[in-house]
Amino acid sequence: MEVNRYNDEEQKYSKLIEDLRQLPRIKADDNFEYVLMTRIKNGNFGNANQSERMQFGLIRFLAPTAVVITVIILFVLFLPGEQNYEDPLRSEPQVIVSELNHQSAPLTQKKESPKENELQSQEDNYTDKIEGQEGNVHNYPILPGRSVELDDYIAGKNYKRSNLLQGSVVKAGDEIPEFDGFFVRRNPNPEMIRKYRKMIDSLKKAADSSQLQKELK
Amino acid sequence: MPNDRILNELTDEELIKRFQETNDLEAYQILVKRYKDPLMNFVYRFVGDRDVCSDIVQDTMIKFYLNKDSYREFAKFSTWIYTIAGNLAKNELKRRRRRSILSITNSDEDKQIQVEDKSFHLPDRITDSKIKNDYIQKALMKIKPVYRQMVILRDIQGLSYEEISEITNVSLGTVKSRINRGRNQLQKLLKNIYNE
Repeated sequence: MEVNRYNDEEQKYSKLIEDLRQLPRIKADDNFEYVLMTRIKNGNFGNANQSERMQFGLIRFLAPTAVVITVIILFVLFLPGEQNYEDPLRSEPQVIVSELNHQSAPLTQKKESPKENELQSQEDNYTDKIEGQEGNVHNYPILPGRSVELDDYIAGKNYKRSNLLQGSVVKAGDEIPEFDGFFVRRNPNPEMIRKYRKMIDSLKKAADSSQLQKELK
Repeated sequence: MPNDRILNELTDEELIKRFQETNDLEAYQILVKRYKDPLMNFVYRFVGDRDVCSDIVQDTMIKFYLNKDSYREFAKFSTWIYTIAGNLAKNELKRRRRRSILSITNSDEDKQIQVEDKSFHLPDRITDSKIKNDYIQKALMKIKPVYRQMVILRDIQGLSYEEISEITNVSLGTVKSRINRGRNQLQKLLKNIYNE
């Protein structure tokens, strides 16, 4: 076969190409054809009969499978046990004793006048009735020590600015709170405020009218 | 005898057609006779081992015998048979690489490139050209198989770029660039010879 060697690239490697062309030709053994025909006649096809695709297909399947199994084994072996794992969101924080004492003291020492107690009980009854439909307001985790009573606030009694600034404090049921870190921010319902105002107004009117009647008598 | 002469005058494509249609073993044998030496030379230069290369060419011919119907007329017989031999040679290289990775006792002797056996030459004294040929073969074995195959097919076997493109199933541009890279690597490896 005539090979065109007038190519620039081929000129560059002309010596090498010439040497490669001059390499001694390897010839098949004299008995090559005899061996081949004997194999064919005997049906001895050896490796040539095997499907290469089958072999490599199996290897291609086995290799990734082995990798996946190894990864699973390593994952199972080195996975940290659930008992050792501490979820920072679920674990309870340590109680600061000094903070607890400070909060519980005003609760126990709180002394209210009989009149205030009476008003408070009335108010509780009302709020129970109103909130009964949506849920029990007393079950809300509100810390009374830091809460503001709406009546007192409107009437200007027992006004604590610090309480208003702090807002309500999360409380775990009726128990003294163990965690005192988050403040619940709730936007006031205007409808509820209107209801409370009406209620207070009607109470005031009732009180005034009863006083007037007493005075008239 | 006259039948033999007629068969010998047929082209490769005509012979394989005859073999496909009539299962004529004579046609097959003529094709084997025509291609056994070129394939031996190609596979030997590619694999670098005389015994292995003989087995690969035997397997190539058996594959040709068993899968004669997979040959299609639009392709040249030479490119088809070179493709079979090339694939078997590549598989052999892959097998060797796998074996060398898995082998615990991987001595330096195994790594040495096997050079042409003395028995293939006339029993005369080792000349300069013999040493040079050995160096060229060693250098061939050191370049990447993709470049090696192309350089052998082009510069040793004397096939055209188009035929190489068909055998290796890559574009003509890739064939040319790979051949040039292969030659460049060879020239660098053999700088002692070509700097003289």
